[in-house]
Amino acid sequence: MIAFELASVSKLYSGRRALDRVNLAVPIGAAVGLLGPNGAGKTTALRLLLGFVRPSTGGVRVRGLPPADPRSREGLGYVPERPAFAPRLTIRELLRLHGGLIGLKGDALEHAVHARLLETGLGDRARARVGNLSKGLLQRVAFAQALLGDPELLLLDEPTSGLDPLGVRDARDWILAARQRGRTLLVSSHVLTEVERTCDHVVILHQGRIAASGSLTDVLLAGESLEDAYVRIVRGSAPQTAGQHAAEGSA
Amino acid sequence: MSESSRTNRRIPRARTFHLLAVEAFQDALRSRLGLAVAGCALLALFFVDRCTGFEGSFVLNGEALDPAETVRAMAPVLFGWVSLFLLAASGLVASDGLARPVADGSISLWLARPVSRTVYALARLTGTLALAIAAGGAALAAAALLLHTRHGFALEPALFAGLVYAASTAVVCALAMALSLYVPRVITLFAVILWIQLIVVGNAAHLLGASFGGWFAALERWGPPLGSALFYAMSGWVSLRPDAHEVALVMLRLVAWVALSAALLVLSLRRLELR
Repeated sequence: MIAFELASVSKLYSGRRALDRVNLAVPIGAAVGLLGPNGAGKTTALRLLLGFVRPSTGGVRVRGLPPADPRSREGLGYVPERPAFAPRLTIRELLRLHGGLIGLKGDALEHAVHARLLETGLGDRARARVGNLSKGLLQRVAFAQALLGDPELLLLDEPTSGLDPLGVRDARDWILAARQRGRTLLVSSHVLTEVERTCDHVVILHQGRIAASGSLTDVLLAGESLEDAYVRIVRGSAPQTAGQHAAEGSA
Repeated sequence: MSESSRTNRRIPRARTFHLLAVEAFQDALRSRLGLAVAGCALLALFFVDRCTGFEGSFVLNGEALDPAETVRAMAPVLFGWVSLFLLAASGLVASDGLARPVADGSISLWLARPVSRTVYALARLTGTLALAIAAGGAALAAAALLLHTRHGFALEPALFAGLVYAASTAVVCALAMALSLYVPRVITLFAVILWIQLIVVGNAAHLLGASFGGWFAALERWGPPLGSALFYAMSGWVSLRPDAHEVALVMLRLVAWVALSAALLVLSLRRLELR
């Protein structure tokens, strides 16, 4: 079964083409890294899947449902590139609210909130107001809310952005733990080493088109690191045609 | 039972709505604009207290007027003016109620949950309305009690006017929130104040028998009857017996505008792209 699907999707912002006839299908249980230079369309792809923006052409499905249907976001956790929360809430209040919105209540809610606070290293800051937190702590809060309820699907947009080295390592552990539990991951990132460690498939976007996609072994040449492959693909190859997307866009 | 299986159950919309509406109310309450609305309500109450507690004497054309009679004649105007002032103040808090989560990006994480935009928009409206109606309603109730205890005004018209105020606040807040998604908040606020004034002037002119045409007539005839409804609600204080059919039509139009403005707000948020 397909978790996330973009079918020949194009997205234009005021005449600028952010995505151009992109075909992408992420099966349930896959861990896919979405790579590409700035402006390649990675965040737009995630925003389409969340229903924040509508495709100019083409179709978007999350577990077979259109993103406009709120049920498509049941069991889905999202870490945005720049987490922004209601600034007057404390971390605990925020997590309780998010827990409530995914159907947790009573002891189960309190237990889940407590567990996520401890897991993300926020236990001693539970009463801090979100508006007073540093970027790194905000990123931890973003992970804590995304991991509430152990979601089946995780959409992570630059998940290590703003984290210190210890935070990067923690984030990697959280992502790997989710992957070991069989969760579906779609990770947009510039940090290629992290993607190499946490994902088994990659999709490289360039100028709004898929320049390469497949398992790591498919994309990498012998002895090549992901960084080498990325540079080779982005610098060396023109975006593929729509026909090739359909054939190769499946991660 | 695992955390994951607990969250796989369908979440009732009513629960989602309740959680978000309470959050919106607390958010409005904690904001500076919430304080500003509470300040406006206190100011209005102070104004009513000073005006109805007047014990001096008036002289008009050399003839002394009874202060109590003067207050009795002016009280409905005063109550109506305070209601409209509080209505404009509710536009202040509404101009921020939805625009801020959109501007600071916090809306994204709410909508990344199984929350429809319809539920989110209506929850924000309800939370904002709860604050505006609580602050304004308290001020109007206190004003009505002052008029009742000092000058013997009946409480029924005040109760009717309070209901009209609540419905009018719903219209003003919903339209202000919808507009604030597309224009800066300051412009929203000025637009709301200007729009309320235009409608009230139009309604008052119509009630006084003036005739006019063009867009102004259309606004008066088909727009939300903020002034007319308030006037009819308070008619018991001025011994007027307006045509019951006309009163029913005006109240029906106000209720229709509550539904229409809420629908407009929902539609505006559903069309908005969150980049």
